[in-house]
Amino acid sequence: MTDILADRFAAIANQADGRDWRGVRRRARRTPAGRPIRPLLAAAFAGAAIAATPALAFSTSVQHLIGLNKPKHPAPLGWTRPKLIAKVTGLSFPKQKPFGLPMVTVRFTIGEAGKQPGTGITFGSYFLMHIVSRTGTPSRWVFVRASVPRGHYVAKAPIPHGGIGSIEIGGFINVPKGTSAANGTFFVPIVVPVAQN
Amino acid sequence: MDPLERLYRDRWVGFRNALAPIVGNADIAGEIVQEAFATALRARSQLRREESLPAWVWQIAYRAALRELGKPETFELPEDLMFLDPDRDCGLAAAIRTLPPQRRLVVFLRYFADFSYDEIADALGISEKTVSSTLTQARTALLNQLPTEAVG
Repeated sequence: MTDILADRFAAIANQADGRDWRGVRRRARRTPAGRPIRPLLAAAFAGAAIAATPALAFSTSVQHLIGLNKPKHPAPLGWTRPKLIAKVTGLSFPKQKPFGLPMVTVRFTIGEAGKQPGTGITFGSYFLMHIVSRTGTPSRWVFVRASVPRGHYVAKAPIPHGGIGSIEIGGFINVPKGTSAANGTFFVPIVVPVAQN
Repeated sequence: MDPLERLYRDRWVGFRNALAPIVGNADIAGEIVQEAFATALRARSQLRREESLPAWVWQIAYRAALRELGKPETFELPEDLMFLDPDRDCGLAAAIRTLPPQRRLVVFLRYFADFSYDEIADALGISEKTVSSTLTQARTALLNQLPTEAVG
């Protein structure tokens, strides 16, 4: 049987080549095994801080979107949720790769209102960020781990058709339950409007 | 040339393309593949069968992707495991969407990462016969979904 799908897949395969064997060798020498991968995104910093107070709420629809629609540990009642603030501290636009989508690199901080970034964020929490176009079309959610809960994060997402209207940042905050850790998660949607030039 | 370096040069793009739908971003997938090869280079002595090299590196990359997503290693593939840019072949993208996630992964490994049947079997811990039947079923399902003129 002729494999007629091969041509179809070959035609759509992303051919952008990021090979760097020397880079692999450098990593092998200096990177400890098991280190979480951190996306090494563009370092350019631009723009003034834009802040928005979050509206705390649950969102099962987002959990469904990312395949977590069957949470094993429902959020415990009575846990005092911190009032978190997201601030977008920088936007940069990496050079578009051949066959690639236009992307934006977003730097942001999350922390309790009036406190340093990182406060109120427990170990193992993680965040989701996506771009909403001016017409309301969202991009895919991008995961950002808070394994080091410093409060400063970087995420890269495709720019949806229509340009950047706002940035939506959510998160799953690990919460304690009894003596065991991380038994519940909350989703905290934070909409950060962006005035794009 | 060292077989690992040869694998890297020959298959980096394929590994990245097969991993990209899982992590949802081609750049992050590229970083994970880069890190996976670095891990493989460090742990090279642990590889028992040289012919399992592609599957071994893939498993390292796949586990790293799950860690990056904050998932346990038993994480089931997301339902929206898809091309990052479905507009480039809407028909194929729509047809792929009808496949169960595990079958989609087999298809991606075959057509994006250019894995042979035995490499897919090694990578996913299933038999070569299962790979063969899975791909046959996937092809049949896909071809039934695609427009007639596109498959002739």
